[in-house]
Amino acid sequence: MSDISVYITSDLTSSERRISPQWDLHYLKTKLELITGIVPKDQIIQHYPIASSDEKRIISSNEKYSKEQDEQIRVAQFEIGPYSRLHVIDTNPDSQLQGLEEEQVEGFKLSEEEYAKKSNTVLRWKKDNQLGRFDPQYEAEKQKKLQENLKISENIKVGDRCRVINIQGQRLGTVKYVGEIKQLDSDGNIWVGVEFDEPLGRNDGLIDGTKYFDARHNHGSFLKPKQVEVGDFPEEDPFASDDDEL
Amino acid sequence: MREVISVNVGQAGCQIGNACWELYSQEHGIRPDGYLQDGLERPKGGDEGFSTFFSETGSGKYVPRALYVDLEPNVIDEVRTGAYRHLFHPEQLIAGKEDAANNYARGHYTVGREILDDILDRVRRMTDQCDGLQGFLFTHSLGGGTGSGLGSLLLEQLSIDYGKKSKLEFAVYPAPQVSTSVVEPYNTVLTTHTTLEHADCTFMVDNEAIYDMCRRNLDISRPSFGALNSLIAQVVSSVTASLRFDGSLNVDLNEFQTNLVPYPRIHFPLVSYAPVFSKARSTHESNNVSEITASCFEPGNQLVKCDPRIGKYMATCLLYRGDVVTRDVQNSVAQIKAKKTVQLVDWCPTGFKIGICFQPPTSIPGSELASAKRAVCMLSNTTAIAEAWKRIDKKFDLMYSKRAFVHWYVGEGMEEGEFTEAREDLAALERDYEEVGTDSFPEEEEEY
Repeated sequence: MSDISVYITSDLTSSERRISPQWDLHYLKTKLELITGIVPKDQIIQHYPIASSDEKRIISSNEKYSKEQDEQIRVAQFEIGPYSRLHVIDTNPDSQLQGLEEEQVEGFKLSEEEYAKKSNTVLRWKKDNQLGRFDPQYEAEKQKKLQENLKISENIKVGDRCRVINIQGQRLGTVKYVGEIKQLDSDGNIWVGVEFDEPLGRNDGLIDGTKYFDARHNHGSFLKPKQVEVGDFPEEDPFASDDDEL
Repeated sequence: MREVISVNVGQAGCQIGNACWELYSQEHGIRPDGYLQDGLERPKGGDEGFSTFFSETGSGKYVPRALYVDLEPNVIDEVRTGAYRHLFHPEQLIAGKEDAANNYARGHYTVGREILDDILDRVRRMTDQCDGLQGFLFTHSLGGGTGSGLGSLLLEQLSIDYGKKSKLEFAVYPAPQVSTSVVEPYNTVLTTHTTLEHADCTFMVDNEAIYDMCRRNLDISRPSFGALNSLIAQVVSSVTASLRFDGSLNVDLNEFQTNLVPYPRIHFPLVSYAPVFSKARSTHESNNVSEITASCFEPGNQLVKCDPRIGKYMATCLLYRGDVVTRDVQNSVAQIKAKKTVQLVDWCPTGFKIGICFQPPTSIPGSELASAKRAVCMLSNTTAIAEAWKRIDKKFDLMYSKRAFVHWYVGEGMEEGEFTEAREDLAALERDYEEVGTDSFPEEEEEY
């Protein structure tokens, strides 16, 4: 008899494996331990003959566990069909599997200093080749962009009507906020909060828990001053175009 | 000649290898017994391209330049008795007697070490037949025992024996939701640490992403390994097509590294593939160049689950095959760039490389995947893939904080220090990705 492909599942694992009908039950259990981490004496093995159905039967429980007895039982006698499922349950409340699903654990920490000391890292590469912030030009370029940003923002005032054009088209609205937004960048750049006339924004003036201005739901957005053109942009009558067609 | 030797390690590696060689054979007009299909004078693909992956014997038979390695005999026995049994020479199929029991240490130190010399011998015999070996293409899983343990051992050894020859990997990365075995996070972290300095470029495939693709796009309700692997094979075939077919924009194995990897450690490009449609749906899809290109930027077409919208791109290769003209490709790329969903790292050279191979994809009889006139595979080195490392590192920490199952490894002669050493290296890798993502000037257009 040849091997059978079956699905092996447990609370923590799921995989497609091959088992042999010639194996004895104890050998199957040792194999299942290596996959699921559940030791033979704690295993309850359920067989789901049809993968898509909840119909199941227990083929081995942990009551009266005996290795010797398991060694007398052939896997063939369980008549496990191809692509059916074996589900293994851990009955030991103190096993090393317990708590492996918990989210809170003190993970491995690599400090800035330790990372900086390592020789083969992207940080070292950037330093050695003067890339990114290690480029002498970087700071100058950054200051230039900052100044440009400040200059443009000086012409934008809260209450101004404005227009924002991008690939998706034109949106009209009112400027509601001009200033820094620590949640978006810590470099001192100025951002513009806009309430659009139509619900074409990203939020209601709230960003990461801080309310910068009040806007209707999905009418607000934060943009770069460069993107916001202020001027005489009266609100469009949403029905105007319909009227034209009549 | 520029030969490439494929090395398939462990169950997943060998089974993906099977699916790939079945597909390659069909694409080049080779029958399962290694002889040409009726009516063909020469294999398809041109002599130069074809011979990178196949060698020719005196009798007009063609043999894959491939090695199958597994610690337990089952999967390889299937190759020996399967439909393609005559395609391979018995020397190419190496199986041990005792499996790695999902344990990296068994694959790397105890059981794996025992057959290492034998494997290296066979590799030597294959490389001796090559005029100008380009390098090696590995397929293995990161979570299993043989794929992770023996796979990394072989990569290390090939670095010693073949120096600077390219080594590329297709690696099955653990699915985000469920592990295939309880110690999968250990194996993945250990093998990644060992191979980090030996592999030049690693394409990861997460079974869950493929599984979802099979379910959603191919309407397979419970995909088997067979279904998953035949989809993976299409992707691998797209990546290697430019190596195997003459007249494509000629790509060398080491060009993947040159084009995609700015710094050696950052060598895990995200792979996307389109189109993926079932035969039933294919009639409703036009699959023009711009559609399939746009599909590559959708998470549903990625082979690893992560969110590229929050990442920065270092480099992108779009590998087209089939009925594709350059002008359509240029337009499609321009459309993508205009959408601004692609944020580039601006302090190091980045690029959009295009490859076109005029050989269309081949559909395997019995596969659910509809045949297509054209397809595209996108390889993009994005910082978003660091999510995958964060995920596995976290799972590792959950287990290691309790030292759960560490004794299985120590019992095979591994030192516990290797766990911390590997974990620290992965922590540094996470930092590396953060470093790549920082220092770029903000995009001109931003909206929050």
